[in-house]
Amino acid sequence: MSEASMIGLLTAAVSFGALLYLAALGELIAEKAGILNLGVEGMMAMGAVTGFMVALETENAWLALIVAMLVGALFALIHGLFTVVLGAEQVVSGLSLTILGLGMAAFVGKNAVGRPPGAVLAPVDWGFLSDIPWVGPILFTQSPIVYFAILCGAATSFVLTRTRTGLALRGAGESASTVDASGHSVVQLRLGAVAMGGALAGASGAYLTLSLTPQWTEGVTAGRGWIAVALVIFGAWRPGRCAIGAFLFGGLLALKTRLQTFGVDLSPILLSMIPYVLTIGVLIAISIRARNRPSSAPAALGQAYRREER
Amino acid sequence: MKNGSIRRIALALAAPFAAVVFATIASSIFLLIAGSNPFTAYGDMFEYGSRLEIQVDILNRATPLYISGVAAAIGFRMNLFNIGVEGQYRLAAIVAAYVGASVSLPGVLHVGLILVVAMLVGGAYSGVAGVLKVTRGVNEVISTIMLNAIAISGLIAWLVREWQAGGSVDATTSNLGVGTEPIDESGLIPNINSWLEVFTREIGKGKELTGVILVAIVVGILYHILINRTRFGFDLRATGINPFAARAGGVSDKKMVLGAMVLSGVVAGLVGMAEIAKLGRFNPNFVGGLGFAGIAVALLGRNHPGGIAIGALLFAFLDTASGVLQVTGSASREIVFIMQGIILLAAVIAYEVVQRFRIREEARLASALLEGDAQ
Repeated sequence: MSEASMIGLLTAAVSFGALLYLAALGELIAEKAGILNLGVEGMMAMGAVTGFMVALETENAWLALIVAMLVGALFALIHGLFTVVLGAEQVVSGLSLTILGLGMAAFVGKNAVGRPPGAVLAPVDWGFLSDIPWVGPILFTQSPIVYFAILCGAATSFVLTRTRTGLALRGAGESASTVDASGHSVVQLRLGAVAMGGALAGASGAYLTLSLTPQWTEGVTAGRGWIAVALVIFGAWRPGRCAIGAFLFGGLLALKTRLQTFGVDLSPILLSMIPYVLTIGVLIAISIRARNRPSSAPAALGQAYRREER
Repeated sequence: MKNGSIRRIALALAAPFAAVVFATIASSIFLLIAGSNPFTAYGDMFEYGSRLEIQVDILNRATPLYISGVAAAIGFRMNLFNIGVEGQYRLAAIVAAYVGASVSLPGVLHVGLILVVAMLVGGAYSGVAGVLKVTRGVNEVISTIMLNAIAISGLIAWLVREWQAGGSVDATTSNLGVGTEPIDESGLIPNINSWLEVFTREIGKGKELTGVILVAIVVGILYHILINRTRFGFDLRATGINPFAARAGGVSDKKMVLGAMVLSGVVAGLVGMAEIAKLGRFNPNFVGGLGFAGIAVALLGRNHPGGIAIGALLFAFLDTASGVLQVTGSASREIVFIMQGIILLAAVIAYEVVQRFRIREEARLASALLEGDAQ
């Protein structure tokens, strides 16, 4: 295994990791507020297609990213309206959102299939930092969205654990009635969290079509939204642990396409199963540990809050 | 209370009807934005869908959708979300295709064997999620999503290579050579064109109405009996409505979870069988996505055997009739995906609204009765 291919692998691991991390972080925020959103795959697809289309029209990748985030947030708010405001079943609504998102993305992007990108997000120029051996190419030649993802992770961690808003948000996911009684609006908190989650899923999708594989094809998200859902559990609802999981899973994604160049005699098929098997393993581990300690999942996750039923 | 029951049926039908109307309007807006004429598009679809050959296609498509819908509904009835029908039916299909091709038996036995293998594989795979939930408390939504991914990106991809007919993929031949060994004629469920032709003219263009439709009908009837006429079905519904009350009434929730999960997977296996009966082998023409579509159909049909049938026919019509849009060019075919998504979301809302309306009605009725007592 040559040094160059090893560096290539790790660089791709960071790129893929950031893609998964953005979407997982969004899901984490929503779940922390008590809303399970299984529409990640749909929101990612919508972000991917709008990002690509806006870039085609305006040739401005940054504008495309912003629009993709807005569309992701708006799309997530459909789920928010249904589950938070109307108290509909979260699993059902989330799945419907995925079906709608994938369909709508296919419709919107139909004429963009196979077209060259209008604009791409160029890697950040870090000057001499990029010349450091190993660290330089792996960490300092990445797309700006990678750094954005890491910033978002730090910010989420800070907001959730160190601010009043974060406390209230976590409260909405643990015991909504308590938060309500303390004078916060559960509806506002949860809607905000869901919208934020959608924006990050949209950014993750746009990262695909604006930077990672700059073109649009139907099914470009390829089930990565589901990995994001898994990552939240894998990371025990903590931004930091999610990051570790994301870069680990990102590494597996990167390795899958490179196995042959490394001359490793391992089926790429087995490799692609690992993230899912690991997640089930983590779930089992959580349940064994839960005998002594309370589960790390938000207590009110998936439960609608209706004031009149308190 | 005849008046009351009519009212109840009207309320039950109002929700899906409103959802379809809303979805049609919303899709029209999308079509207009895209520069297509919605009336031409819908007109084309209805004209195309009224042809006998296309109706055969619609029925063929609705058959696996219906079975898949029932599979999902069994779990939904007790608020158990088997998202894993997708993985279960695909896995069942490839194993059943392999086993079916590796034996030669007289007709009924051969078909029966394929049927049983498909059901066993589906049930075993969904059973994994059931066991995880019962023994470790792992949420079935998450575990079945993971099991889907493991089955589709892992197990099946691996089995396709292992069981490739002729040992390896020959790049020089066309796609036709890819797939498992073909199943003997005796293992395939015959078409029932002659049954339909009693009522209509001869079916042309080599279209065949699948005999699996009879399996689907049996599944529907058994599902109805199971839910409404058996102890298991009663416990299932009771657990769905109020798990605490059901437990207090002596229902073992672990047994119910495992039972419903396995049964759901068994039915999911039949979806795979339906597809294999059509193709005669597992090959790249195998249709994916029926599991997710089944969830949609079950939601739309409110887990009711008749309702699921209507949902399956509606989705099958949209899937099939939209093919004409490619030909006439009056609109982009993908509009039906949007339509299906909106129908589903609108149905979720509509049922929620109807449910609230019903609860308020009941509350008003109860309070009126109480006031009557007080006087």
